Amino acid sequence: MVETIIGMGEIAMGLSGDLLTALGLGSCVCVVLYDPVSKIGGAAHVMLPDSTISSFVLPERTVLLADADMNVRRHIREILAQRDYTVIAEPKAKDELIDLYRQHHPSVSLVSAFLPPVNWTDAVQLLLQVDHQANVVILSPQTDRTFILDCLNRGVKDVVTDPFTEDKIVSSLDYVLFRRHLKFADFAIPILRRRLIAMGAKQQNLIAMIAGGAHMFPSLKDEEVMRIGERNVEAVKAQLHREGIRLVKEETGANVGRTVRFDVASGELRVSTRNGLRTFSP
Amino acid sequence: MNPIGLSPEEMDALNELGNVATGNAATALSKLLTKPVEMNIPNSRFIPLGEFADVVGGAEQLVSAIYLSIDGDFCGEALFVFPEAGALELTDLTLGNTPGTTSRIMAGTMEESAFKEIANILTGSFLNATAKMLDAKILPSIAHVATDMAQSLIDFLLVKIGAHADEIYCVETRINVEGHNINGEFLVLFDRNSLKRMLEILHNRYGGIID
Repeated sequence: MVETIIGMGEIAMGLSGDLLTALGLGSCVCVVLYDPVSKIGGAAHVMLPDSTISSFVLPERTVLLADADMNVRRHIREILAQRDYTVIAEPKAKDELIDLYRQHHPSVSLVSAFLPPVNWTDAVQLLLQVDHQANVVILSPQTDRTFILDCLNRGVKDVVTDPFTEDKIVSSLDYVLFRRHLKFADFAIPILRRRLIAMGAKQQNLIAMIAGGAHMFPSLKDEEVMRIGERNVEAVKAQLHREGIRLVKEETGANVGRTVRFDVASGELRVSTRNGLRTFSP
Repeated sequence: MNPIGLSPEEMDALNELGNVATGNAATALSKLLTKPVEMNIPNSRFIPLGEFADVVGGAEQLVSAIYLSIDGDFCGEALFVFPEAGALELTDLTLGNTPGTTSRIMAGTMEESAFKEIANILTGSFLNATAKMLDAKILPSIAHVATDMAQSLIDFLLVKIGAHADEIYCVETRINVEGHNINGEFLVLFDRNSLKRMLEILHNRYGGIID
């Protein structure tokens, strides 16, 4: 079993054999989304109810699309046009990639693993030399985990595998661009849902389980902490409703810290507190 | 460079402010316990929100924490975090009991009051020293106590900051009571506007140190 720890303001996805863990939740809420039929699941460690209170500026939605194949480029360009993303440059080879990146400074770069005349590792290295904060997403035909991990270790932010569906492309760009916003329920849940669908989960099968949203210092008045735990729970439920996902289990509120472990293969949710362990099956 | 663009000299000035204030707090605590108390030179820095739980011993570590909010000319939070066993021993010391007497810090008990008193004294002397140097009014709220997993106790603090930033400015001091297994953390977090105002005052009053 591979355990992934989901830090505050992060999301993670998993398949059978994965354990998704959020440690020591106080006012934060862990939202698990799960398709029990395809056994695909994910979890978000939500810190805050609503991004509208944030002073973070939303990044521009500009994309550099580097692929030698004209048909692939047209296909992706058409998808992005409908989703408020603008393709601002389309390099077909490595030399163009760097020039066009320098010229346009896109918010995110979709780069084919087969960009001629080099392979993806060279292209990524070059891009990161130009801008070490570049958001690079690799378009890849491969699907195995080692390849994806190799990409991530080299500074790639995400990998999208063939076939390049709308869900895959858009969920990847949203995830990379709005990473700082994943601490908010109104970003974390839609992005997580879309990423699960991109992995093969079915919308109609999705169920949700949530835990957390506590008020840890009993003598502190709720108003002094802006009712943050309670508001997180309310916001998460409202967002699940908007996304059309049924909530099947809730372990929220009270004055207790919780660690949540979600076993994707069995769908079992384990909530441990200082008082012991409780498990739930969907 | 740091998230709000302070120069190394400005970071030093803030650090120095923390040093003086902490020295004051150590003296106060050692008087209360009539034992030598060791408090290291504070480590003042910006910490990414996700790494904050490591400062207090790891996300799931069972700790007793005291929380106070700071108000007045400068705003922020003060936090004391002790592994549960250390908190119990510290409480016994404060009450003059043999270590091992207190087995749990329950709400509304004398043990809880004693534990809170430590936080009141330390925070009070830290803030007094800070206020004196900056010629400002700074007041701590009443103290609140809870025992649970470290991260669960602090995530609501990170939330206030997390809406606007990904790092938190923290003055971190380790507390060590000689001859006892008491190792805790005293953390003071100031919000960004307060930090900026502090630096302005430091510039005006002690310009020579910074320039």
